[in-house]
Amino acid sequence: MANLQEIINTDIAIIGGGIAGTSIARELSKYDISITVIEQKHGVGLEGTSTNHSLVCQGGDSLTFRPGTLHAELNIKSIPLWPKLSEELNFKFRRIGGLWLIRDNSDYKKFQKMVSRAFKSTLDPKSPLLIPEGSFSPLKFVDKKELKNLEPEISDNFLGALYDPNLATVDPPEVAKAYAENAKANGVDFLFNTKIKNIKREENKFELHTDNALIKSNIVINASGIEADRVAEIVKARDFSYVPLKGTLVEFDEELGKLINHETTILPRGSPHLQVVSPTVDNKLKAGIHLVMSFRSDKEVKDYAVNHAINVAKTLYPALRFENHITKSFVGFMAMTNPDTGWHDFVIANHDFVPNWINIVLGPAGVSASPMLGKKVVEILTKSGLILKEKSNYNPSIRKKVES
Amino acid sequence: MSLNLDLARKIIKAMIRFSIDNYMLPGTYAVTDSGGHVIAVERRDSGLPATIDLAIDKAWTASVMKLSAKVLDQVITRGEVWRLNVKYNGRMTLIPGAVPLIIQGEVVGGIGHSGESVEGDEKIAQAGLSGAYREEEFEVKVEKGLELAKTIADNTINYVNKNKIRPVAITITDINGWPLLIYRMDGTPYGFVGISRSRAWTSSAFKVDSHKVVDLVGSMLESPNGEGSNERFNTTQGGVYVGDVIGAIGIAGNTPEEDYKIANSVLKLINF
Repeated sequence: MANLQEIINTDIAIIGGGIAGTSIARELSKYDISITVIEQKHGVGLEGTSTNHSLVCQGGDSLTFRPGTLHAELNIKSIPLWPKLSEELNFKFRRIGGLWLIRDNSDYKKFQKMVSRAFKSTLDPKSPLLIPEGSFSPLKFVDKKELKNLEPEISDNFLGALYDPNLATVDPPEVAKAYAENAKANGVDFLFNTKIKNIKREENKFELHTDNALIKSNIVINASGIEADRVAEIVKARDFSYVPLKGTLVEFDEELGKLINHETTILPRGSPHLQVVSPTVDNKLKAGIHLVMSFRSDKEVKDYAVNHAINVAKTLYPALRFENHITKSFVGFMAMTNPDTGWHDFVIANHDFVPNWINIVLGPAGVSASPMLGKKVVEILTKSGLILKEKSNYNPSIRKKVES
Repeated sequence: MSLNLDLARKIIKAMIRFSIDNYMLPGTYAVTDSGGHVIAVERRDSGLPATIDLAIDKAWTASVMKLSAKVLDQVITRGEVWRLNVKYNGRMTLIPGAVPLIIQGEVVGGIGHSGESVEGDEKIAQAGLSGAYREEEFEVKVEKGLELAKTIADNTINYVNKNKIRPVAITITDINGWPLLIYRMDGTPYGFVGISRSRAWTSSAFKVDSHKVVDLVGSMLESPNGEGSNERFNTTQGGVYVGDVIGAIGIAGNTPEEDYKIANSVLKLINF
């Protein structure tokens, strides 16, 4: 059968059609270069992109990321890009705002630090976390009364909250689809149901062997999400490590969704599990997140993880009957680098010994950083000597159907 | 998943694979349990002898502090580690490359690597932690000495399991007396690790089986024996001199006579 295989020649092959692969494909489609996206499933954004809390870190929370990391840099640089992007690509972008609930003085002190950090970030041009002017509304403290106005159903146990009006939510698969459709309309090829079986490196050219095609490419971008390490290992280009972090979330229906308007969260104490309740773009609710390091084949939804989500929701909103409104519970995986310290960072880099191979590992807040991701890849490609010529006929809004 | 010898070996294998794939310098790879006691240590043939105790001490630090050396240095002690080391005689190691092993949110052990740059050590130790969460099997080709040491260790484990004797600690040294491999089988009290290493060193250093050294030196007390150093004098049975590719084997865990029998039987099994 091998001789019947289709041979595809391309300049850049992107492995993975998730949020990373599609956003990079869209950015690169601005340039005069041939691009092929290879996805093992039948559509874009079906793995990690679709199984997360859907939040776009637009302010306070991106300031909690470790300064000096790509994780913080790309997220903050993405803040002003989101509203424009949603206009261009016409996807739903809902600014819900976040409430960091205050239980006691120690919470308050922690949030004070965050506020001063946010304030500095908007003022000091030398700040490692400089937020571009005009794209950020200041954080503010709200008292109990104001909190009740913002969230009528919230528990009486909270003294107040830190209000971040910037936080937004999107539907990540919808965004990935928008990226992909725009990329396709601008000339990017998509291969679906195509699983990488082997990769060979001849000189500086890569041969990607799949079931139905042989793809010959000069440059490979490994954006295969949680599988990035396995794919990189095929050509000995893994110079990063991560542990799969299994997160369990529960989704609730619109009936509850319409009662809650803001993302509400309390800082976890002595527990690795996040405590968040957040509305989605389509007025549903997501709550969780039970986090545990695990094998990536461990996709089972555990009862205790679901209970965690319900408990969190009930702690925040004791009057609501969450048990009766569950629409689904699901498991998603994040690639967590430095899991021992929690000093997570993205990997977006070419490999020292395998030229023209770029590894992408996102993990938490990957969707939020996606507008900057392609720009970072362009920077790396340009630095490594590739001359990218801009297309004259690039259209940022045009769409063409991608699903097979 | 729980921390046992198999998991420790899997972690070490992942670290070795990572360092070979990335053309990193060879060194020592160590895994300790929650008390900081060695479960498995492997040193590649050209890895510096000094890296053995460094790697073990890094893993020990991560185990007993339940923290990465990175955090200990940058967040906890902030350059004031000597205060800790007044107590711990320099064993507390703040050089990156020491990472706690976390299972189900709990620190169950430590992973240490020494032999590369500071960044390299950290990357390799992280590869070890990530290796614990990998499922697929893979092959790693290591150098002659470590390969032989692993074969002997595998055979020892099989022999002990087959004959239903108490589990043992195994140390295999190079011809200079520095360990290439230390394994502690599941269920072996950690005290036997030091004994097996001492027996192996004694055999290597005097080029005879450990209990025959008394005939040569006349006394049991004449030789250097220091905590933390590689000079460990022990003239009980259980150390067998090999002197070809590897230096000696030290077994401990049963009676000295039994340990000696195990070592000899295993060497016979693989025609050494």
